[in-house]
Amino acid sequence: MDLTLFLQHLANGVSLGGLYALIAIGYTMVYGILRLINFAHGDIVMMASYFAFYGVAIFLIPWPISFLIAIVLTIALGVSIERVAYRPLRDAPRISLLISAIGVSLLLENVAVVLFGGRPKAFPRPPLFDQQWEIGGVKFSSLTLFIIIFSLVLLVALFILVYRTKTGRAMRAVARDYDTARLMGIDVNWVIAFTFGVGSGLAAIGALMWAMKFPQIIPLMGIFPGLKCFIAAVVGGIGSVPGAMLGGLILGVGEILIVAFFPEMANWKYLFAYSLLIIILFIRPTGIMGKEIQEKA
Amino acid sequence: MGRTSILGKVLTLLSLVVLFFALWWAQDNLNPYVQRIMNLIAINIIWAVTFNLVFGFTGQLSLGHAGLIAVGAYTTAILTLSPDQKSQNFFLAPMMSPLDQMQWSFLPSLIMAGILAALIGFVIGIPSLQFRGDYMAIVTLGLAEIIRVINMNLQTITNGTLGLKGIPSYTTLLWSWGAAVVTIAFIKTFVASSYGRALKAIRDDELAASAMGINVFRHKMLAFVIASFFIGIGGGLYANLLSTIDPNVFIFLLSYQVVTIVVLGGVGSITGNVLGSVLYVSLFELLRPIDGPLPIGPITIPGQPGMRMVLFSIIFLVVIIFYRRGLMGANEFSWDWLLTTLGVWRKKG
Amino acid sequence: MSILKVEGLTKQFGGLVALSDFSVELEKGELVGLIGPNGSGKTTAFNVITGIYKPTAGRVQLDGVDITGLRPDQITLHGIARTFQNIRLFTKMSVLDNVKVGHHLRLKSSFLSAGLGLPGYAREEEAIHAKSIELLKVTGLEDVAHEEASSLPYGKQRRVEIARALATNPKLLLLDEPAAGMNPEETQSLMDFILKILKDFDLTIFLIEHQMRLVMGICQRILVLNYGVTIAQGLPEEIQSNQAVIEAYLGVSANVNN
Repeated sequence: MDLTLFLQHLANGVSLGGLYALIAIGYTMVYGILRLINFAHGDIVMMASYFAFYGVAIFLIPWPISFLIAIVLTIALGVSIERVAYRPLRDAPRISLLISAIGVSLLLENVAVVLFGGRPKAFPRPPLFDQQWEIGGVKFSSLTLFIIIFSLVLLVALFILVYRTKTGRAMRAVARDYDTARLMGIDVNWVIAFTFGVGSGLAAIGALMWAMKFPQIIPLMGIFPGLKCFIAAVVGGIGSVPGAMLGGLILGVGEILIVAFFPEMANWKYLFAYSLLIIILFIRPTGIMGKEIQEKA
Repeated sequence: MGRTSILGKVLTLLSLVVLFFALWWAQDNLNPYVQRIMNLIAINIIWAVTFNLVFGFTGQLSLGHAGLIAVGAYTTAILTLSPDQKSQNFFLAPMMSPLDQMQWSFLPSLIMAGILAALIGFVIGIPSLQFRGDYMAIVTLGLAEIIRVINMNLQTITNGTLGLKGIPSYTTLLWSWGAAVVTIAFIKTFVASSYGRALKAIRDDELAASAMGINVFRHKMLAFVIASFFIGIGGGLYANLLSTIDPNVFIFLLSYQVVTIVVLGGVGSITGNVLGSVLYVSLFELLRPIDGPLPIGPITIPGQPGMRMVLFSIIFLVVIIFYRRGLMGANEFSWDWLLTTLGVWRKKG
Repeated sequence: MSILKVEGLTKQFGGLVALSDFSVELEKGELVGLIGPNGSGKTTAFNVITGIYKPTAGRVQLDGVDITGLRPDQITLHGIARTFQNIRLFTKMSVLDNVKVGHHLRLKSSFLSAGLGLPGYAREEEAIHAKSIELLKVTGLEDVAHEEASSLPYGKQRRVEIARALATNPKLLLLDEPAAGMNPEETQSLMDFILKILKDFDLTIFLIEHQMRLVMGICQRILVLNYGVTIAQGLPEEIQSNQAVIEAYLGVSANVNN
């Protein structure tokens, strides 16, 4: 394989990885603060895509506004889910919370089937994201550039939010020690709702990019990406935002390169993510950038 | 114990005899549609009771049921298909020998399904049982998916994405309910034993259980492997009921179905598992009409495919948020309770 | 030969040295106390001895067998049982079942035998039942045998924990603050109880306690920890007048003359 081809694959991998990263960040933020694997996150991605689709294709609203509305609606959806399905169970055993997340996921999928129909719909790709460029023999689209830019910008923005603002400090406090944070006068309910909002917003942006990259949307489209992005978050270090980005990149690049180097393994590429998960849980369960937690007796 | 012990055993035996004859009659007299539902109920009972063993009694959330069901289903399918049917199925690539010439009868195939599922369960258990609740859920989910992908790619063994057709319909009411009864009997006895206590101890407090001399990992694995054995048998019955296997059926949505049934019926209650299965499967069939247009008098409410599942999802969420203990909570049916309620004798003490 | 031989046991958590060079030898039948201000490493010592933590350095021998670094369940099999500072009963199980769990480790029947209800297992189950009832009688808990463990008052829960530990048939019993939260009357009956089981069950007992009346009353020997370091070891009278010990407790209201 020559250098150009390799770089091409690398570019594709980074593009895919950026997408995974955007969605993985949502998972990692919720897990960091609630110790909950939000099974419904992938389905929130799906809903965001449909919101945007209906805006542009059905209601014929210009795409910038549709996209914005979709993001806002998704944030509202995420916050509502937390309020209705997770908050009542905050004092229940953690497993109940997990099962509730599974329930929300199922509900979203089934509602989507009823509301939007099971047949795939074609997601619009505005010309801004459709430009094809070439540098040194490596082709990539403007969409790829936007994905990378957005991921980086959001990473920086999140960093500032979490480490340089009062809200961010509150978020970190709740993540570290829920009960003490409450005693310190932090409005925990608001902080958690805010975290869900941010996570959902990021998921929405990721969803829009995803739907433009893979323009066929169906109600069950969120399941596998959701699972893979969660794995990415774990690999990078659950609870760590840079970790989620790293995990997403590793997963994206890895998937592309494996198929590139071993074309006969194409069918098995789904195994890559799952295998990576098992391996990382054994070698370094807290993930690449995660922190060690020792439980006292 | 005491007064209910002998009476209880007699009543149980009597009920089983009645059940046997009822099923025997039903097999020849009830219409095939109803029989199919009853078979599905029995199979789901097996899956629910085994999930309950791992989750309700041992406290481990495994979402890998679908993978083990697949192992069981493929095993009986491969073993019970005749060589002719096999060559018909495997037109893309010939089946691997000696599998292509093998043909077993139902019982040995079922036992084999259980054994293979138990083995795979053991392999799955080694990594997954080392992790806490939420991680274990994801790991088992991932491993079940790995099994599914492997099944879809082993062209010469499972026929890959084409699936298998023409599997002999050996699953009758006596087989499925017989297996369900055996499963319930074994798990009930097992849970009532010292081993059951050890598992419950692990569920309540792993550290303390370990300090009392219980090898936590070994016992979790024990529960998991026993569960896998019976799950595999359930899977085998499933294959010989449906007569076709589509590998895409064994997706984690199937695992979620089992979780739903157990949550609805009551985690930690075998009676609850039975009730949950009956309710879920019957309701699923009964609600079929709302997926299509519903005529009510002069008005026709337009149906939508998928409304059923939406309703189920809502019920599921309502139960998990407000009635977490499900229908039965952790309570079991007992002859004592029934006889007392019926006023046949007064409450003891 | 001593029942318990601990040599140079050290436990470090990152930068914090919770236990430093802890050594002790217990002869069969001894009743030894471990005291020290809060956070001095007493429970850490117990946790390392019983395998809940792995030691950073040092050795533990039980009856001549090296049990250093073994799993807790393995160590219990060798013959050490314990109770916990914050009671750890199996909350959703009955008192009787809690005690029965203690017998599980010595079960000989296979799971198959248990699941099929074979006579071999049935016999063992009966024996477990009888032995557990016996233990409940000894600890005065017969009448609450079928109550849910978490529904009992604190004092009774402590006794269930002890009964459960005794069910494992230990050579050495570790009690972590058994008198916590007890009034003087309860403490007195606990003292009598501990002396009774020491004799009746042929035990060696190592206990952590803050209530000095109990410690000085029944312990034959006492070790004192402060910041993970053993600062004194000896007879109750010696410890009571030991300057270092008194200083360690200064500021802490330990009623030595309770």
